[in-house]
Amino acid sequence: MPDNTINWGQGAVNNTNDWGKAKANSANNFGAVYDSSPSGDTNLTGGSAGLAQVNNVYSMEFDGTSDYIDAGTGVGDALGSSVTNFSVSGWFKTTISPLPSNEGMFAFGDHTSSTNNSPFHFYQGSFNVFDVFFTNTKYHRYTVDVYTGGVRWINYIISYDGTQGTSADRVKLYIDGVFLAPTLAGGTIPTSVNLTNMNNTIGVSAQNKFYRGNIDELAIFNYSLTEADALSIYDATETGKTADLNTLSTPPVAWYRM
Amino acid sequence: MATEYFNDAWRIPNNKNQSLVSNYSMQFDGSNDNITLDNTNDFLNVDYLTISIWFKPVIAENAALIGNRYFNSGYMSWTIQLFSNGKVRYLQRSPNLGTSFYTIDTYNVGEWNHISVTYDSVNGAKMYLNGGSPVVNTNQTTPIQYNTDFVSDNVTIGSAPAGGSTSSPTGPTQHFNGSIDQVSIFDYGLSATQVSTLYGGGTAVTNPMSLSPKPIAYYQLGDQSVDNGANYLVPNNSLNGSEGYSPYALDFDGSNDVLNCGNDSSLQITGAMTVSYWFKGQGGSASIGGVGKLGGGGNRGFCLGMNSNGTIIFYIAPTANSLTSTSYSSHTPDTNWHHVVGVFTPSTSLEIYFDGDRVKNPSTSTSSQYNASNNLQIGARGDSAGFFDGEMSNAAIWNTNLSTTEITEIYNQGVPSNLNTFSGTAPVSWWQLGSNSSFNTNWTCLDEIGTNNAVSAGSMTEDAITNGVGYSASGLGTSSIDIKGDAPYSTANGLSENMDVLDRVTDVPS
Repeated sequence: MPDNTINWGQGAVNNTNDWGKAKANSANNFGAVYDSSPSGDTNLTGGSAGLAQVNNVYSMEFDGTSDYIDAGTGVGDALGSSVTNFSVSGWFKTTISPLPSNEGMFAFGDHTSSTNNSPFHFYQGSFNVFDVFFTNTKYHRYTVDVYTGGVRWINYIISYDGTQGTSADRVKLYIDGVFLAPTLAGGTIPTSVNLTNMNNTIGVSAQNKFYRGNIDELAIFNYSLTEADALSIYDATETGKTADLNTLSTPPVAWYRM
Repeated sequence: MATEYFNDAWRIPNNKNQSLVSNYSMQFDGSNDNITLDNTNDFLNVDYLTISIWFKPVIAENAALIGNRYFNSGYMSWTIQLFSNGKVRYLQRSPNLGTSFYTIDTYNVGEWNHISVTYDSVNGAKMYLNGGSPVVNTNQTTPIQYNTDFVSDNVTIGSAPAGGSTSSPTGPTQHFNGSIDQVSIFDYGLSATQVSTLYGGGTAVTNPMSLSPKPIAYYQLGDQSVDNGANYLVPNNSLNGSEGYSPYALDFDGSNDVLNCGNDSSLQITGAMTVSYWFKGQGGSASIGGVGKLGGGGNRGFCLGMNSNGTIIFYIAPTANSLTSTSYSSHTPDTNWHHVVGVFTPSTSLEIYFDGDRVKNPSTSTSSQYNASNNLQIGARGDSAGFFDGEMSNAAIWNTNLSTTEITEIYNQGVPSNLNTFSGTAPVSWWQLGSNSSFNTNWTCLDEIGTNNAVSAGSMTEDAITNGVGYSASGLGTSSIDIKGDAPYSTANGLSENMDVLDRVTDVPS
């Protein structure tokens, strides 16, 4: 796994969900393993809580100008018109020269149209800003410099749970298996979304924002992934291997190996 | 299917669908779109016939799914039609015996439906919809029988074919609005059990190739169709095993068309080697054309090529200024696909294999090859002083001398095989030429083994892609047809937009 050079992992003390069981030996304690004792900081090195692995040979490279993948309306139609839970997981490796600027990573909706016609989209606003939008006014913004130490592959998981009582709890972003709190929120995240007849697109989002870089192992789930799930996906990845998402208790409804 | 590139899009199926028979279909616009099947009537059997087709209409309207000639009752013809009232009809005409039709309720709009029509000259026709009970003719007590050969018009998918008479032809009509997939034609009447198997019980599509006997024509439609810039090429995926691994080839004009593979160190072979490719044609203008690095004096190199008379020559360059060769002159140019292999075994022999047989094997004292600086080229000498005129497919090069047994394996009884599973030493490079190839301003053909992707030069345009070894009775579709990542029981399959064959890379999370 790539060394992470920021301190996401540090806040994991007292977590009771076994997260952090792998990723030892990472710089700056990212992913270092902590137990659930009040004292924390007990490194449980050895053994991985990651999923079973499958070989991974290829990714897709997007030019930031017009490249994207359209997977049609099949997933949106299957999820339905009043979706309360879904998740998206994918590996992304941006190109930072020039720096990223409004680059769509994943979306449900019409990528050629306004954000109002896109019930869900995830994009990178700049090198350190990521936005999860539900149409154009309901969003979570995350500010984090994930590229300290250089460009690398990063796993992003967005987990949506509209049944949560508060807007803030309805969207969770996990970066490399670690929960990241939003730094800004707008509007009220809806309690359900209508994904019927919505194309899911990879590498582009509303208003034709195209991604520049590589994308791999993009998966969509019809439930809300937990932090433990997120970490198990991240943990299972190493050179030439990635998580076998079919070994999750509920496999994804769509998984693009690239 | 696994992720693959067919011009001009990556097919990236949802992982859970990769084992299914079909992941992609073709969507017809209801206005102009259709597919014409080349020479189909040549093998249609007037005594026995089965047609099977999956379709997903956008709306209920009068339209034709598949047929040969529709309007002119003076010809033998058959057509499967939809009506706006939800009914499906199989219509057959015989010039002397009249018209017979079979009508059945009710197809589903917005969903995949399956129609099979079986016919034999004794019992007439039966039509099945979505695995239900068959209907027989509904307008005559006795079903008509086909009694002469079918008209020469080609079978059309997605509309009624052209009609009228020779002197007053009419254009295609009744264009279908929706998606079509998995069209298969059998030269025998399937039993009710076989139709049920083909339908798959409402849970999965059965591969028609699993039936015995196999269909005489099978069009997967979306999975392997390619855009040649003006039309979709729709391969016939059922030729009883005579079709190759790659459905496509590239056409070289014999004047300046060439694929440049570069001169990477992996292609700087100075010892034993093997060159293999499939071709239909002969040498073009000047000298010889084929696969190699041959240059003029001072930069000689190997080449397996042929001249305009069809004589095949295999050159090896012992030095920068010398050549040793062997030639095979018994082949005269024809319109068939052939396989040719050149093998150099240092200090032992130069061999030429033609269609699986070793036809030349003179001994040689040459112990090594000069490392020519020319790029390896496909379709021309390394210095472009000679070109190939015709079609080429599945070119490969090894830095070893393959044995007779191994060449028998790659000849594969006349069917190009998947060299990723070759039992011997893997090739240095293998270019399918057409499959896993994309056109932007040039053709780029992926090296399936190494990193020596081939890029076209000269006047090679998008329409250079053509049917591959063994493929015939293929379809030609209108360019406005859409490939859809949606097939019966297989949805949400990805399709790239604006991406080429080089956009799939080996940089992965680690």
